[in-house]
Amino acid sequence: MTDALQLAHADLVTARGLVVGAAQVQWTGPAADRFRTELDDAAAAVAALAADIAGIGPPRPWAVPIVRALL
Amino acid sequence: MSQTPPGCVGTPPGQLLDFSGSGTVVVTPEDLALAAGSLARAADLLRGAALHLVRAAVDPLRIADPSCVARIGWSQARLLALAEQVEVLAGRTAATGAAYAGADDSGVQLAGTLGGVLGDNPVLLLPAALLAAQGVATVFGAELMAGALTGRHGSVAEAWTRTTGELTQDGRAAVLTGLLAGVVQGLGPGRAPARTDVPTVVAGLRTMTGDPPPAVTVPLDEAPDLPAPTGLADAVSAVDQAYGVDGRTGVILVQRTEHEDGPPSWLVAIPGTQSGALGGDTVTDMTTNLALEGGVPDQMTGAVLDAMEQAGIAPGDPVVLSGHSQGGMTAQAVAVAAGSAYSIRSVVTFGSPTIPQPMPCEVRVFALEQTQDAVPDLDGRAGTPTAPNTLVVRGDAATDATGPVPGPAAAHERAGYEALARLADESMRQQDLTVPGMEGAPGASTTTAYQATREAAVVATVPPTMTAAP
Repeated sequence: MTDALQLAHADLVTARGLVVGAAQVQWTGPAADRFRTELDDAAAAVAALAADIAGIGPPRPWAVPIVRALL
Repeated sequence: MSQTPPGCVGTPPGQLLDFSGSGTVVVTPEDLALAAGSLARAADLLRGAALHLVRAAVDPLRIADPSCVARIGWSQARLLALAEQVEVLAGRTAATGAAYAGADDSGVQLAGTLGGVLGDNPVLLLPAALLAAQGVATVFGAELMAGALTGRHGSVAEAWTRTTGELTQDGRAAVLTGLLAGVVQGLGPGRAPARTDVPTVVAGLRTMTGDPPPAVTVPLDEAPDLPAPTGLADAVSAVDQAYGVDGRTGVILVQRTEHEDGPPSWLVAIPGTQSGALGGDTVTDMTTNLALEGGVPDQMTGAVLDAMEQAGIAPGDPVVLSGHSQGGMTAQAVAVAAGSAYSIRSVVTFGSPTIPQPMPCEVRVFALEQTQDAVPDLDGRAGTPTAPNTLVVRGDAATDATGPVPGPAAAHERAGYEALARLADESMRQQDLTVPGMEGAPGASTTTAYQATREAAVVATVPPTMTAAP
């Protein structure tokens, strides 16, 4: 199975794309500005989480033989 | 402003000075529905990602690294919170799209209703209820907008029912439909559909309501001290002062300012609607609104011209006309009617619909409108067109206690327009632009007040200004 972190990261990337896409809707005016600001904030938060998860990286090399031995 | 008549060769193009969030509202409800769907899908994905993190957290290879598990746990909590946030956004987006779509449908239905009323029973259009049409339409429009954007109402139909519930009981709703249709459609998608039939309908209503009692223009003993005007904010402020002269209505302020190097300049300040009646003592009433919007003769335009004559404005003296709401329509009508009798250089309107007559080519128009103010849309057009020689100054009304969208009072009130005028003045100063009729260093300034009234006791004391032809 693919690492669950990679799956989570892929979902986040897709989710961010959807949020950014939603912000492209043709709608102008003060309310639209507030709407876009909220979407931008949400997209930024999703991107930050995706980066954080990507930064977790692979399991520590030294842990692999220990865990396998225990299993 | 009104369309420019043919032959205005060399007239500067219209301009828009936009201080609002991003200008006129333009929206396609279907797009908002699609956006809401995308956000709902994004929320699902975020929850799915959180589930993946749960699996990652129990992966034996990850468990061996406590700091890794901690980071995964933190990310998971953050993901769930984000999913909820995006889901709320999706719901609000869907509600807003539905509200806009409903507004569009309501506008169409109202237009149909109007046609039916006109065709089957014109008498229904007579009731005195029309009388409060402008105010009610303003309240309804702003309420509808607020409901659509904040999700306070489940649907536009609900907003419509709630707002008009009392009105329908006494038949007033029937006579409001023409104006409301214009307002509702103005708030709909793109505020685009212009109702060009509004002036025709309103002129018809004006005819059916009968002529008001005669009015006269009389000088008043006292007038406020106004600073010599140098920009739009002073023009707006002068009108504000006209509303408060000794508790009177229909007060017109005429301010004369001396200039060392030329003739005196004049600022004429005209108030807006001050009565919801048809034909009472107050000239700034619904009769005048209907006449101005219908493009037929009205008493307030004549009153302003009378005041200008009594004040001694010479044909060559530069004149600036300024008016709020109905007063802005009167200012436009005076500019049209003045012809060569006066040198009208500028017309300043704020919160005003446009009149059907085209403005003279040489008159510079400054049209201030707050985006949330529904009154300028009562002419059936969404916002003020940037016609040639017109500078449309647009800005957002300040919010009030009603929430993120200004209430109807805040959106139409004069104080907000004064703030917008100051912004415009500053911007114009940076571009070395001035209000025609306010150029040069001002000298001493004096103000005279006049009152337009139909009060019988006053009318009886004023000699007729016209005599019958022999």
